[in-house]
Amino acid sequence: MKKIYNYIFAGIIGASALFLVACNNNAFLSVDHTSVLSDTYMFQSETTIEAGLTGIYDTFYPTKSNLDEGDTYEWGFKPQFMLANHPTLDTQASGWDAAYCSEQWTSTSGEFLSVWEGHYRAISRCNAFLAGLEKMDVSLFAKGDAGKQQLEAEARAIRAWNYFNLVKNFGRVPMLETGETYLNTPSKPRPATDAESWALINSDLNFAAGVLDWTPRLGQYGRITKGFCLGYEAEALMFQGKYADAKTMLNTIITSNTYSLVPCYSQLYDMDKAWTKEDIWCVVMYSDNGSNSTTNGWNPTEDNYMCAAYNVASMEYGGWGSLFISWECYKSFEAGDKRRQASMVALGETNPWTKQTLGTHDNYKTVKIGSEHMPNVSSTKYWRIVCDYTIVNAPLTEHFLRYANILLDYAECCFQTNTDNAAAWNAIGQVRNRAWGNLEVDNNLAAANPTYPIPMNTTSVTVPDAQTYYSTLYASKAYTSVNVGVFACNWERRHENNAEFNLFYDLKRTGMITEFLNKEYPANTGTAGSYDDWRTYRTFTVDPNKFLYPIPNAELVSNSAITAADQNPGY
Amino acid sequence: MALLLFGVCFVSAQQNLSVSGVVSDASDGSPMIGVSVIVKGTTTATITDANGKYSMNAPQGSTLIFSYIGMEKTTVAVKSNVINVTLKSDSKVLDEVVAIGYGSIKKSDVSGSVASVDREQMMKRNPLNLAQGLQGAAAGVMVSKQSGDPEGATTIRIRGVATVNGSADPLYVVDGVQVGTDANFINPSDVESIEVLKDASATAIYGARGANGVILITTKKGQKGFTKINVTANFGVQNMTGKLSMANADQFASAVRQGRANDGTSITNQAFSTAYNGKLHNIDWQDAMTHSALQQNYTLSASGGTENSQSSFSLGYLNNEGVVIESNFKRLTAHATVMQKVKKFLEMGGSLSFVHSEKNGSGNLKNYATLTPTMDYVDGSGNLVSHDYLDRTSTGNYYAFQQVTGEGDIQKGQDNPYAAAKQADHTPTHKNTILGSAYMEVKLFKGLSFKTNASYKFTASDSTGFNTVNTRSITAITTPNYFSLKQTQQNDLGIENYFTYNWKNDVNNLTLMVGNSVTNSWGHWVSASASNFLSDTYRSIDLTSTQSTRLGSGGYDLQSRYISYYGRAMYSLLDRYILTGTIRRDGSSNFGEGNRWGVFPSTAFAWRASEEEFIKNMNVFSNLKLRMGWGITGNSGLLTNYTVAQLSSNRIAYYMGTLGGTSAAANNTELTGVASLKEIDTNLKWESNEQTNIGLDMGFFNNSLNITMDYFVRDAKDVLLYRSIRPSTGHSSIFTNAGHIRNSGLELSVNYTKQVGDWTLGVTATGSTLKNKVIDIGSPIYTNLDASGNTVADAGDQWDTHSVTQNGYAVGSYYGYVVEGIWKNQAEIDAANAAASKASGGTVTKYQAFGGNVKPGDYKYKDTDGNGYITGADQKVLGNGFPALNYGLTLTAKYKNFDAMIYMYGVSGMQINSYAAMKESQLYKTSGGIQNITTDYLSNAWSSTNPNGTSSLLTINDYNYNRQQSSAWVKNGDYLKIANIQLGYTFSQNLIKKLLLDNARIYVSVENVATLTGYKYGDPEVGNSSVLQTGFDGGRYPYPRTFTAGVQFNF
Repeated sequence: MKKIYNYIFAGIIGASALFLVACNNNAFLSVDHTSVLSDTYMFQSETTIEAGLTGIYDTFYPTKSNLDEGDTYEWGFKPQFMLANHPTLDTQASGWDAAYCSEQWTSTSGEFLSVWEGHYRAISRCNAFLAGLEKMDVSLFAKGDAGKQQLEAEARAIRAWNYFNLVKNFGRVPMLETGETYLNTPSKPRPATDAESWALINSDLNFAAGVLDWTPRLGQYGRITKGFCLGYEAEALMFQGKYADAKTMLNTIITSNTYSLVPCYSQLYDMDKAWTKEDIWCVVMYSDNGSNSTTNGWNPTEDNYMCAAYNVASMEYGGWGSLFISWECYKSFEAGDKRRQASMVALGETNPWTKQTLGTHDNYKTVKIGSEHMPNVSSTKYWRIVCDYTIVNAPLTEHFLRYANILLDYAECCFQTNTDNAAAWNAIGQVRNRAWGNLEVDNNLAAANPTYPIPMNTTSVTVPDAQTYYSTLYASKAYTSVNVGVFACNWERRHENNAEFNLFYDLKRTGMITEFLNKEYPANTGTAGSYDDWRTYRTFTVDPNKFLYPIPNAELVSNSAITAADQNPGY
Repeated sequence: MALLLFGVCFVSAQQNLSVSGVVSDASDGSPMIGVSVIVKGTTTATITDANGKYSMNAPQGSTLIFSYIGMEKTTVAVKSNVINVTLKSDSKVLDEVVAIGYGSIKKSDVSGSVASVDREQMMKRNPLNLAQGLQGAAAGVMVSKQSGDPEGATTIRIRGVATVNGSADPLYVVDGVQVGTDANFINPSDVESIEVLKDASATAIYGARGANGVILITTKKGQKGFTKINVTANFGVQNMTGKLSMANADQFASAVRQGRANDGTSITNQAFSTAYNGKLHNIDWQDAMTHSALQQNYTLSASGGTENSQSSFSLGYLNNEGVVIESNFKRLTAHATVMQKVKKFLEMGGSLSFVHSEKNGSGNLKNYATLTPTMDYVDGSGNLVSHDYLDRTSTGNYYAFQQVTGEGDIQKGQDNPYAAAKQADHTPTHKNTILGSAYMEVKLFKGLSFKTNASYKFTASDSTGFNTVNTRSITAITTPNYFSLKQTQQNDLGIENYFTYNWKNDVNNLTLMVGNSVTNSWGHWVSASASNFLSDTYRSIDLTSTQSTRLGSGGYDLQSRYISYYGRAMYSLLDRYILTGTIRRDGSSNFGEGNRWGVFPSTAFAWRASEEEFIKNMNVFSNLKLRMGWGITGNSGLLTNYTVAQLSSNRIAYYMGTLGGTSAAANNTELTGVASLKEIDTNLKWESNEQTNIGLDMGFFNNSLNITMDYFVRDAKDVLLYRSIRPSTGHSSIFTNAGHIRNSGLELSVNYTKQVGDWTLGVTATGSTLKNKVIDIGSPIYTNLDASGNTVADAGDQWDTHSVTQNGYAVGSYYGYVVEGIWKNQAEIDAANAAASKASGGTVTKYQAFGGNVKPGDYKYKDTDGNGYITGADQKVLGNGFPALNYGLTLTAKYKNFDAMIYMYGVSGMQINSYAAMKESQLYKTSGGIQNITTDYLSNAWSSTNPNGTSSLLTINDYNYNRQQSSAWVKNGDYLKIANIQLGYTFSQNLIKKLLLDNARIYVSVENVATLTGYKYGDPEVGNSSVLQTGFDGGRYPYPRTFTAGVQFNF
């Protein structure tokens, strides 16, 4: 009997063993990856390649999360305005940010890596997109090759924009091109010359400008346009000293009549506004959908939200101390220039939007505040809501390229080439005319906005003639690094673009930054550690090496084609 | 009561005698139950009853054989009717059977490095969980507590760390079921035996899962005989240890004044001015946040059965209050086993375990110690507002810190942590685990058997939280109440089938085993939350007053599947030459097709030299065995999607607007996009561990003294890790195979037992050395992240690259600047700046680029690269968290009915990367405000009046980054812990038999008796689950000292 059982068991077990060995092991080991898409998804159809393009546009938004387990990006606002403004001292910061106001940053400072990685994230998406797009048959596109080229143009323009920002900050940077990935290009050197850097930027923008229209594709504002391409290519040419070419492009934009100044300067920064006639390129943060006003607010479920108010609000009212306006800048406005009231609030003044008065509380009654002695002046370009932790994220617009910039760039090109100086002063005059409120009168805004926090002008005012004013100011300050016209452009930018994204770059590009710091923020002037002396007490000596930021240390240690010897001087 | 399972006498009454007697233990005289008594040469047999008594008929002149596992076999000639026998402990433990995975063998036949854990000693330490019980159990097994929290998280490393981003935790196998890297769901009292497989020749049979060592656990099974009940009950009181000596309110205020003065700033809280010296109300937050806590631990077990049917059942309950207020851990365990011999050739059985646990609260002593030691402030009218954190006199209300809108001397929004703990929602995190397994074993033919073992493990955990509106903090007061729910489920299914064949004669002994294993793990998670509820009593998401705040998420976990085929051959010649070979082929779903399968071989040879005549003739060794082994095991790393080329739409979106529109999302077109979020290495493959082991087992004095030594070299190759890549990829890392890590070390275990009269003395000592070295890993890996991707040091503290893994150094070495002293005066600083300018050709103007202006009293960082000034390149490896020597010592003594044990352990040559020391020494606080410092630092801080101070000056702004990772914060971490002292008493049989008990013992013990160390910043036992943070001390939940009284009895 036992033998029978044994044979039965042996048979069953043997059959089972055979079954196990015979079953499809590889099929069993192939598990579903239910939280990712196949890498081929993007290139299946026009719809899916559009999704890939959207993935590129997504890089304009901030990302404040550990999105992909190890790659953390915190950018989109703070690092950008810090790098574009703090070294000028027109904006200042307390705490660790203060290093950016004293040239104390290092190659290991996290902000550089954030900016570097963020821009390359976009470039990497562009390169992968373009490589796949190249292989897609034109028959997949409703408009054939034209449709395919439009997608290519938008992607190349975005790539150029990101490279341009990198070059402005870091000088020569590795130029990864279409199809280059880590796997096929584990290391990449810096170009040998600046010209090599500019070549790809110019090429991309040139191509895109030739393909795209003045108005965005599908009428969707948020897409790259011809104006974007020409505007940024002109600026890139200015960085290369090619002012005549830049002037031509800028004039093309002006004469296209696509853009115009928003009549009220203050309204550019109103919450919940998007895509004005003045915006050539901006990034719009959208309304809080409510789900972010809880404890989750600091890590929103989507990326198109911005808690900028916490960065810029007065510390007296809950701000983080990331953005103070210097008293020097505050005091540099001319009488009648409404831009100061629209963009900053100082001790004793009341924020027109939040109705909060600076200097109400103990410890904030002096012209300097906090242990770092920051000026008691705050920007109101982004602080137009109360920081009360109920509305963490605010709908605001980051204006990267406005028509006002185009006018000032055009004016500069005229002055740099010493041609059409009258047109140049006229362009500056247009910006100043809006600043004094005369466009509010022309457009009868007072009637349309009776309760606007800053009253609209109802009668025209006389704007001081730009040429006269700046000639006098230039002479009195005895600037020598630039001519009076370029000086005027930069001074106007100081007021027009304060706390935006270009002042430091314009000042260093035009060669005026050292003189600006020495004249407007003279070293060892003022009273160290004083709460009552409004002057910025600068102790550092301006170091020309600091006009380029350092290549992030993380790139140096992980890119074998770049060594410490390739680092920018001074780091 | 007589207990007879066998025994029929076949001899005639005329020839037989009726024999009876008592069998007792020679060591303590206690009666022995279940001793087998056989008439030699016959089948006549019986066993002793609960009182050690037996009776049987035996032919006069015949011989009785008394035998019991672990005791020397004794024979007595039958000459009278009463034969009392005492059995001695069998020192020849070499005949003990040990589990080796898919089988068991005599300990003497073990050829690999296998350590058996002394269960009895383990249980005497009353461990909260299995991992704690393994502390000091075996050489080469380093067990470090991660914190003193009531759940008792512990880190186990067997022969070091051979991975970077993966887990270094060993594999647990419970009753033949691979349960992963956590077996703390097993109640230690349910454990029958534990074996630790250390070298690759032993672990290779577990192939892909055995790279970090294997811990085999056999749980208690039913025993044949009448049902036996075993009860244990422990009751303990716990107190905090290791309190830090921090500045009191007046000292703190003085430090703030000095720090402000050094920085050229002024105090913002006027209560810190000299006018209030001696008037401030001091708050000792370490005392406030801790209390004495109770611990209760009960177990009840029953087992019994017949020859063909045996079963067991146990229940356990642990209630462990934490020494930090509002923290506790409760655990209910149940375990049942059954075995049925259906036929002589067929056995079936199974086991079922259930564990329910609840955990509440947490804590970190460092955080309490560094909090401002007073809540006093001066109000707008100039009055000193002074109070305690709690109104102790009347209402019991909680006071709050002064709420300031900007950062100053008091952190903006600083909360009262005592109030926060007391008013928090105390819903615990629940976890339920069920492990069921069933087996069938068939003896097919002579020597050939087949066993199949199927298991299913189900784990479900849930956590809920309700945050009420916090009115104590201005930063939180407008945050609405918030309710969240989260649930996870995990399922693990496994089937093992293997054949075993044994053939032996007097010369040869051959055992062959082949088998197959299949596992599948899957799970899912769900979470939901909402805020703004009308009432704090609501616990329903749907009832939020703001429906738009409802958030829900969840999804499937990535499945993990394995298929394995394995085989093992063990051959013993003349019982002295033993050869073992194993091979295992593993397939894992972690990798892409083409890289899924790995083959892992091993071989070992053992020579029992003591069986050779020439050794025997030396009369020195009672045991001498040489072992040599080599093998390769595999590691499939973290469960990850990063093996397949992929795109994602996770938060990839863009809004398209209209000219002149608004930014209301609803008015715009939201486009969903796709993008690659990670660089992917689609050629990901197995990480392999090659290990060579040479071991020597020696026994002396009839094995009263046993010494085991092992030397090993463990090479991990193709290590799976997140390798830093150029950020110009848009990514920071790629998960890939890269690198080669080596661990090598020497292990020594000594055991000595001596019986002198009524005394039995025992000493067990273990010691191990370990050298961990990265041979080749490509670019250095710098990190401030733990295994879960969380930042361990606060952003702004300049510790972002404090852990480095680079060639030539240990995994997760400490990295930073070298402090070579303190700047004594401004002239010294000026001279250094001038020299730096000269050395750099004018490209730098300062000796150090970072931070603000250096001042006298700041740390002076060493120019390690010799270029004349300080840059990031001057950072270097400062040490690592692997001690030179890891040791344990257990002393036992037994005198009549008393027993005593002392257990101690420690490390030598240990360096701690002490973030805690920095936090407890610097006034600078990244989150704002000012943190408290130790009295030691206060007295040693440099100042113009203390120019010989060895610590940096007091500063709040810390322009020099004195706080940053540097050699100043790498501290000697050597320690010796007297971990446990226990005294027990076993009641005499005369007393307990009146209570119908078989055995009864009471004991008292003290856990965490004392720590001898020079480390002053918390407990030096700094276990860390992240391999890249080995030796990192970020502060922790304080370790309690526990006074326990307990009773054990059975009947």
